Amino acid sequence: MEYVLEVTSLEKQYENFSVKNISFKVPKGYIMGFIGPNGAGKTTTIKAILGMLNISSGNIKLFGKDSQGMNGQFNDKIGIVMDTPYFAEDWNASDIETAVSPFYQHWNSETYASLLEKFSIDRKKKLRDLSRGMKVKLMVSVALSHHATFLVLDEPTSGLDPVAREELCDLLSEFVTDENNSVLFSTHITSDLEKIADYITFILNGEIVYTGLKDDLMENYSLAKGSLYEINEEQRKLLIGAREYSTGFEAMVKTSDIRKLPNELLTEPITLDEIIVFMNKEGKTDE
Amino acid sequence: MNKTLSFMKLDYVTLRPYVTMKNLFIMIAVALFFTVQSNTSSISILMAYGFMFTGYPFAVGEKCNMDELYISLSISRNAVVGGRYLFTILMELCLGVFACLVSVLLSLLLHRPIEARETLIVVVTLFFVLSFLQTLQLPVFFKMGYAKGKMMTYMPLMVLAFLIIVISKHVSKVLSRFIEWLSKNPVTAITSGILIWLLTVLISYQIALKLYKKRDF
Repeated sequence: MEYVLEVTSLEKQYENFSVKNISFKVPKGYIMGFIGPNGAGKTTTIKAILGMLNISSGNIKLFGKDSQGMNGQFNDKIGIVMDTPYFAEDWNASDIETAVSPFYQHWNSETYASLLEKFSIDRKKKLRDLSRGMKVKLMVSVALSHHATFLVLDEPTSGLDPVAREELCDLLSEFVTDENNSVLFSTHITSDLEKIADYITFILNGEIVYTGLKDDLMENYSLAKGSLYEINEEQRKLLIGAREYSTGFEAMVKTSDIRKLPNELLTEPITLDEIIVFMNKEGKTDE
Repeated sequence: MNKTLSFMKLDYVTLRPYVTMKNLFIMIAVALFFTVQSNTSSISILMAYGFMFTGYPFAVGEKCNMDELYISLSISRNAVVGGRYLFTILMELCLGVFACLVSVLLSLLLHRPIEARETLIVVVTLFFVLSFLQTLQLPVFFKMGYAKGKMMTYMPLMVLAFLIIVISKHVSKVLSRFIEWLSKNPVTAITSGILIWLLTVLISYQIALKLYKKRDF
């Protein structure tokens, strides 16, 4: 399998936080969701991948080549959408084109114009006057106007209404219909990823806890509900991030462990959101 | 080099929303006000704008996370620092030319004699002094950004003002002899002035680059 991004043993240390031993790969032609609660290290990892941070150690390969000292080799191939736009607030869509197009070999003004039209973005309107959703769409328009084959999106859907999120997800799905295109999509709104992601990398407290196929992750875990009186101490240890109520409990369990639990418990498929919540709760309990 | 030049253009596009007719009229109005005193005063005030504008690209860039944009465009940190230095110097040069033109225009309007030699000396001297001050400012902005570095960058101005007030009293004789020597050896004076200026810019650039490379965005 060919990979557009290979991260190996990445580390970045701050005074109060660090990401440790981050390793994962984004296969060519697929969408990888990068999930984790706020403050887990998603943005730090993405910024490290893009060279916005000086990493403490590790190795990052983009399109099979070491990303260190990439100096202009890959910007045409990578489209970036960060959670906040990095354009001057007084720029309008035309200013943005004037500013960025000289840096792309394959900038396509027609594509940019058609995307602006598709998203109903007024060329003359300043960035500061656009809504959050419009700003994201404008960044997506730039990212798609220079024939990028790898999109890196950091929390693009946070703060967007469901309609705008749906539109963005449709756009990404359409993007990967070309088998040369790939996406790394960081978000904590995982319902978006359940629809479109093929792979998931899950980061928690600065460490990767899962990287692989989304379906495997969702099949590996289940949601168990029932009364605490129905399970013994040994079985309690199988529960991950259990929430206890007066009427019973709710917890995540490994699907392979279900047979070790009483048949009286209710087990059902789990969502990505629930996986994050239970993993996070378990992490905090361990601390 | 291409990326450095493109970065200069990017800096210009960043500042373009502020290059408005309204701001131009304000600049000329202020220059006109100072022309009452002398033509050189209007030149000084116009060129001082360049010094004040040095922080603008940093201020806008910091407010809008534009360092991330530079990285997304694969502009190397060398090109960012080099481009910003060239842009700053070019801006000061353009303001020098603009100040000359305004000075000549005002002289014509006010029926004053056009003192070309005096104007040129003032513009060249101011260019060297202000760009020297900018070489002290720029590494601070590259290290700390605009918001944190703003106050610190006014330190060189205050130090210079202090030195002028204090030292000029005590070394006035030495200073007048030095100026006399300069006027007698104009070629040596200009050549050494340019060399010192170049050296200062290069040292400042190297420090700024080293500091900027360490920054995370």
